[in-house]
Amino acid sequence: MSRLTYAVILILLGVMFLVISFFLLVIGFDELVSNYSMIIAPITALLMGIMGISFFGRESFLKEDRYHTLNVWFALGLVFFSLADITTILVYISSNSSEICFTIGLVQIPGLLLWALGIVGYLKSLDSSLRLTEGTQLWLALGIVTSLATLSLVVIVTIVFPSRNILSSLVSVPILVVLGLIMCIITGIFWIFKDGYISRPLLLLLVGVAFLFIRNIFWQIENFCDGNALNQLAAIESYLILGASFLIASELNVILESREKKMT
Amino acid sequence: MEINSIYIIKRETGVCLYNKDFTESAFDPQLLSSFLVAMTSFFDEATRSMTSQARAFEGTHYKIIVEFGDWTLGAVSTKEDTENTRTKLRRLIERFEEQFSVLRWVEIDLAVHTRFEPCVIDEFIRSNIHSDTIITVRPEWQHYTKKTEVISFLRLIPSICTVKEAAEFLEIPLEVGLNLAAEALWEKTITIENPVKPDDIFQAMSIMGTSPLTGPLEPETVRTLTEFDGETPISIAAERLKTSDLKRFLDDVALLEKRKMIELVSPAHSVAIRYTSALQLLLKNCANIVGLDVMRMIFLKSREQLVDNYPWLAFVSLEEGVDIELRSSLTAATIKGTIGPDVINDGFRVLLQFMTRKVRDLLGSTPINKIVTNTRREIQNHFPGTAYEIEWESLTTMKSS
Repeated sequence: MSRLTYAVILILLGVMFLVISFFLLVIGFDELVSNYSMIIAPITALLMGIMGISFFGRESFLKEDRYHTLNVWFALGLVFFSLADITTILVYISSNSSEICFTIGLVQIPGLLLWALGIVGYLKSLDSSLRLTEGTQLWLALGIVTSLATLSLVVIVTIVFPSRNILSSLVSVPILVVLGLIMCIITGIFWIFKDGYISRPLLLLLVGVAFLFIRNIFWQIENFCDGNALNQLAAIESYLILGASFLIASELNVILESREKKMT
Repeated sequence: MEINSIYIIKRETGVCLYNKDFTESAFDPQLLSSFLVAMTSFFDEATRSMTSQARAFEGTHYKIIVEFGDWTLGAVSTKEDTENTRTKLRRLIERFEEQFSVLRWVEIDLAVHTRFEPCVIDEFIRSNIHSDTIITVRPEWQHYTKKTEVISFLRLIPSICTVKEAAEFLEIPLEVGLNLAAEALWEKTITIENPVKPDDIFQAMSIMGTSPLTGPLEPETVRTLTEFDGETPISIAAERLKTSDLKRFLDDVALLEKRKMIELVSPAHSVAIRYTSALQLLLKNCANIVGLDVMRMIFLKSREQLVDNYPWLAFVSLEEGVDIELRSSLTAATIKGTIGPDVINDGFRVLLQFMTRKVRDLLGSTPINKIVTNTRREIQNHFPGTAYEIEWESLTTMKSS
């Protein structure tokens, strides 16, 4: 079976998992869903991360292959997310205090930074080829937007949720902002290449990040790390879709060849 | 001037039908005609071949290259036997046989010399004259020509100026100025000099910086020699040497050329270098987006599809990543001129077209068109005068179906 078939299987698996879990939630097996999704989430993140590294890790940095490097950073980020999810399990088992929530947030930050590094590096590479901006305008704008968005969101969250620990907000808000930024950049890149095959893995990457972004919004609205089943389900869906994106990204040449064969 | 003299000879009789000498030291046309016909017949007999095997006769300071038409043979006395000169000669023979076909059967006066003159100017003179070519009007030029348009052209222009300046001075279109300069050169009323341009590619011929006759060279001028590797245009060489004064640098290059320490590479090689640079940039820009492996695959697939029509493309390969490598055999062929610039131009153009169409499928038409535009801009920086010779318009793609 080709990697493209595996990508489709991963997406279907995600859909199937979602349908079964919703069914179980509807009939009242909330705890069961919460328990198994809590275990499946880190395993999925770890497996997809390792898979991504095995596809793109070899020689990507040495050869300065920017597209592969983007995928490597995302795969490494997934490995870090698996650690964050493991931390969530430990928190859920032990207790639920705001300091521990702060710790979970901190564990997620390295993974997120790797993603940010990957997408910004790729954007830089695109900029050098497509000349999207002149000079340092783009980087300046990115820096200003991130800082301003973080500061204003911290203020808003503190006002809206006065009971929440300030430390938790200081960690969770930048995560939300960075995820939002990553999502915006991927959306922009997807829009540029919307007519080409490269948009397929980019779209999956976007959907994957969007799931985590939505989860993070829930974290802001609800309690930060209460081990909610929906949170973990969103994470599992995200990891599976990111895995499917890696599979398609590693097979771009196969897609191109099969199109050529069809044309001839 | 790349050629010294030109002859078109009737094969059957050995009569020279047309000849033109550019150097005032040519062979006697009838003597040369008889010699060439006798020699080519000898080779035909000796090798029992229907088509003659003789292609060139070599002297100490010249070569006589021969090409065959249906009923005429053309000969050109030149310094270098290049594919470019041969192609021009073949075209000229074709045009002659078409224009004066009646001479195959009867011998009549068709004013061949006057009527065929524009064709020869077109093939061998006009290509040497560009907008920045420096014209020097010869003293006593009035004795050399009776053509009214040349006389009125030379009367009004300064004795030393570029063709562009002359055209501006006379308020005539540049194209007309170029044609008038070509006619004036044909009449031997002017001499021309093509100044060194930023896109010229030179190769070092001698590393001896001093000569008792010409005196020592400035150390800075000698230092520039290292950059003339036959692959680097002057614009890049100047960048590498961090030259602040480009005019002085160009003067140094002109001096080195005058002393025969460097020489211009063949037109075919310069086309190959220009296209290789464009191909390299395009590959790099696309690989930044889709990755090295995919771009390698696209290059190799495109080459594979074209290698039947352009066998020499097999000698264009990839090193590590997407670094283009021209194999030494192809480089040697382009340097010697055994492969024509038109052939190189054609092959690379189609290769680039194939690649851009494949990349379009991956990225969409707007991004690939943007990459082509950016590549063109960058190539224009390094080859300001010749970048337009790459057919960029043919590389931009429409939306895929």
